[in-house]
Order: sequence, then structure tokens, then C-alpha cells
Amino acid sequence: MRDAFFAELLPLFKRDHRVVFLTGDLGYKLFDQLTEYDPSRVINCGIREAGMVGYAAGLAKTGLLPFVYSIAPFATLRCLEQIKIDLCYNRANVVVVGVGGGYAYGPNGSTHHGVDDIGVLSCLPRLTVWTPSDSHEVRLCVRAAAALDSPAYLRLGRNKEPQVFSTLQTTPDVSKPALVREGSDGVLVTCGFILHEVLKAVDILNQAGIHPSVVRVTTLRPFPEEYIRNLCADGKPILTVEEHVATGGLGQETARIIAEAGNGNRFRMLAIPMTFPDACYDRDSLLARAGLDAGGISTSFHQLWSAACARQLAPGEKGSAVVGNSLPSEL
Amino acid sequence: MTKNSLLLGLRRDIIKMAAHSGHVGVALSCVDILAALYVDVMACTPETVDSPERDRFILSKGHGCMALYAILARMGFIEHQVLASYGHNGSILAEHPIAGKVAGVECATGTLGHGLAIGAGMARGLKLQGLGARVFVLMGDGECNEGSVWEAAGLASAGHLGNLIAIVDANGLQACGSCEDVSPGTSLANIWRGFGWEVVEADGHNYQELVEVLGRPAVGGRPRVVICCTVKGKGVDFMEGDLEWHYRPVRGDDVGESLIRLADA
Repeated sequence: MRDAFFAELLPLFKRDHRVVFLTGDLGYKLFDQLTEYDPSRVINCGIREAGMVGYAAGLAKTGLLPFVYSIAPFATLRCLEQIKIDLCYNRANVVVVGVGGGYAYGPNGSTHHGVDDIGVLSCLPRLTVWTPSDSHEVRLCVRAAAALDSPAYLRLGRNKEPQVFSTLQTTPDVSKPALVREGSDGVLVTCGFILHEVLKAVDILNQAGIHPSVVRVTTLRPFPEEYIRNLCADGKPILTVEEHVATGGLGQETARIIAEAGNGNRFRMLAIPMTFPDACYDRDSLLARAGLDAGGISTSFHQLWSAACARQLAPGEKGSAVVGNSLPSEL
Repeated sequence: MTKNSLLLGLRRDIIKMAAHSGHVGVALSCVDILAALYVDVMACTPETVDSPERDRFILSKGHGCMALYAILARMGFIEHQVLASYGHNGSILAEHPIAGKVAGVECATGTLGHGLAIGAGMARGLKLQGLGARVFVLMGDGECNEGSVWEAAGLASAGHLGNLIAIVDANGLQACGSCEDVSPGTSLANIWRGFGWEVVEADGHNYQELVEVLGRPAVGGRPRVVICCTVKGKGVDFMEGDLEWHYRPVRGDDVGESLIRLADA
């Protein structure tokens, strides 16, 4: 995803002379081509994230289009007030790019985990938040950024995330939610590059005879209220999956809409627990410990689906009725 | 209008606004600086307020905004009668400048330590686009406690921003005591110098001196800081140097008394 960001930024940088790239002293060698093309529009701000965001706001106020780049927690929490006041309140057209969202920087520890970036940024008016799920979606988000006239946050993984969509041309529009797997047995709603784990989980569920849909949300703010409201209209079971703590994330928003709609959807939210990991772990291990790997996700959905089916059985028929495709067998 | 009557008029406007908020001492300490900038230094008028070529001003110490509103009204950026709405429900003149509401207010401020980085970015953006405009940023000496000020100072120095002029309204008092008590033995001039800035110290109430040091060309492409020695509450003798007037609105008998003392000063 990181390489895709720079690959897409380069032609934009060449074409649109408003674009200025600012880094908080990170991305060694990754922006060399930008520098070769026009060093005056590449600024290593040093390890000064707050200063960098304010600086970018000033650049934007003169009509330029700055992209500021750092590791997700440094690009967000470290300079949160600058994002709030300098970018959002003052309407500065700046794209904040956080590399290593979620647990992407696993063994680097909690200082480098971006598990709360979306939640804190979700408190800020006027900020668009993109959570692309693979490198094609990253490219589409960069294109959307060039056309946007308001501040935005682009949450990247690192470079190891598997491709979800096969070509750029077949990648769905990132501006709205997309149905990426069609099924009849409830729905999993997710955002970001954990989509890959969700799809693996659905493969496991399929083997057990459960065929849920999968919806991915890439533009997370503003939140796609109407889409989610329509999604829950028929009362189907919904599981949300996010590589983020629950607070301020996709699941909480979805839960609110479900509660307000009152359609009786069975609902469960999978998110990162509100704890600091107790030792060094890689991303896969952290996801597994949080129940966010394919196995954990499939188990959670299986339980949700079973509960939903049990609720729909008539009295006296417990354990014998079939709802939807089939009552799931044990995984 | 003579400079003295201009400055007296600005101070009278501030006293009247201050019925609705604290920070009168803050505004009175920086009003001469603002007058020098808008009248005799900056190329920015109501007619050019949206021009890319205009000089920019950022009041980083946003709580001194009564002084800014007063000079913007005198220079015709806003109607003078709007000052009477200061601090009232629905007014565009809040106790810290609101974003995008007041002609001449380049950006909202109020939380300290933000203005210099924004100003530095503007200065860099102007240079990148080949525009000769300058950017002036006014901060408090207490505000220089903020680490983000020094992040911006480093960025400006690295960017060789000779079109950036920072101004420190050094009245020696911050919200709960003296700057010396909070940061003993600190030399702001030495710190700015250490960041590679041109440092000038000036009397923040000497109009002609302010015009000269704020308006002179950059030296060696370096950003300049003008550290202005000022008096909090300047012009009203019973407010001068008294921290209470950081907070206390000017109401009742204090209004008439303040205006009399101003006229006598």
C-alpha cells in the first residue's frame, strides 16, 4: 500500500504543481523520484509533526495541495490539535497520510500501532477519512484526494497487505460502500486492509454452508449513514470487523444506526481490545489474539448466525428448523 | 489623524469592547504593534484582502483579538459599528477570532503555539509561487512556552524564509504569573538566535521604531523575530503590569475611569 501511494503520487506531483510532499523524517528512499523531479516541493520537516501539519496548513492557505506523511500515530495523535484547528477549523486543504494503520507495525509495539487514529479523528468536523483495503484502493484514494477541497486522512497499511481487487479497473468506487461478496446469510461490514482476513473468514464459513455478504467501507468519514441504514432494513444479522478499537470506529456507528432503526438485527462488533499488548507480537499474532484473524472472524460470525437462526425458530421446534441456507454445523 | 489620536482611538475601542470579556491587558500591550503593521508596514488593504500578493498577518495570540478588531475597523476591513457586537450572541467578533468570518483575519487562532507554523507555511507557499508578499505573526512571550513554536522556528529557518517576520509581544506576564517565574533565566533572544533567526529587540510602544524594525528587508534570507518589550495594559495606569486585567472585564465605573486615564496618558 505504501509503494502504491508513492506510485500514484508521482504522476499527480508531476501533473499538478499545487502538490507539495511533506514528511516527518520518514519514508527513506521512497520519495526520491519526487525530489528528482522538483526538490522545491519536497520538504523533510524533520521530527516535528505538529509543526509539519501547521506548515502544511499555511501552504494550503496559499493555494497549494500538501500531502503530509508519517507513521499513523505520529501523523494523527501527535498533532491532533493541529489537524483540528489548522486543517479542519481553518479549512486547509491538506491530506494527512498515516502509514502503518492498525497493527501493521506489529513488533514495533504500541508506540507505533495506529489502532485509535480513526476514533480520535472521527470527532473532528470536515475531515474525510479513507481506509483503503489494498493498493488499488490506495491509488483511487490519492486520485480522490487531488479533487477534494477539504482536509482528509488517508490510512495506509505497510507493504505486505495482499491484493483484494484484481485490477484497478475492477476496483469499486472508493467514495461509497461496496458489496464485495454477495451472500444470503447476513453480512460482514468492514473497512481497511483487514478486508483480506474477512474474505478468508467467509471462505471458511462457506465451507460450513454459511454464505454471508461482505461490504467494505473505504470512505469512513463522512459515515455512509444511508447505505448502512438500508443494509440493516430487513433485520439481517450484521458483524462489523475493524482493525481499530471500538471507540469511534465502524462498529459503533453501525450499532447506533441499527439501534435507531429498530429492525431487530442481531449484531456483533469485532474490534481491537482496549489494552496495550503485553509483549512483542507480529501483526498476525496480534490479530489472532484479538479474534480478528480469519479463524476468529469466522467463529464470531458463526455464533452470530447460529443465534439469529435460533431466534427465528418457532416455539417447540428448537433445534430442528432450518433458516436461511442451513443451520451451520460446527466449524 | 495623528498617530497619537489613532492609537488613543484604538485603545478607547478596546476599553469599550472589554465590557464583554477579559484580556483587555493583552490587547493593550500589542495594539501599537498592530497599528504600525496595518498603517505603515503591511501591504494589505480592504481592497487587496483577497489578493495573492497581499502581506499576511496572523494573530497567534488570539486572545488579544480586541486589538486586531479595533485596527481592522479603523482600516476599513470591517464596519466600525460591528465592534459594538463583540462578544454578543451571533456576533462575528468572538473572544478568539473565528475562521472565515472577519475580513482581514487570515486564520482562526486562540489555542496558542499554532500561528507561527501556519505563517511559516504561508511564507513557504508564497516563495514557491514566486510571490513577494510577507507574513507577520504576532505571539506572546508566554506563548513561547509551547513546543510547537520551536518546531515552527526550526522549519522557518530551514526554509530560509526571509519573508517571515515573527513578533513577540514580550509583556513579561502570562496567565498565572510572570514569564520569569515560569521560565527562570530564559533568554528568548538567545533561543531565537540559536534557531538561526535574525533577532531584533524593540520598544513595543515606540511607533516609529516598530515601523522601522518590522518593515526593513530581511538579512541574508533569514526569518526575523522582533522581540517587543511591552507593558500589559499599556495606556491605563491602573491596569499596567497588573495580571488581574488579564481576566477582568472593564465594567461600571472602570469604563469611564479607564477612558479618562487614557486621555491623560
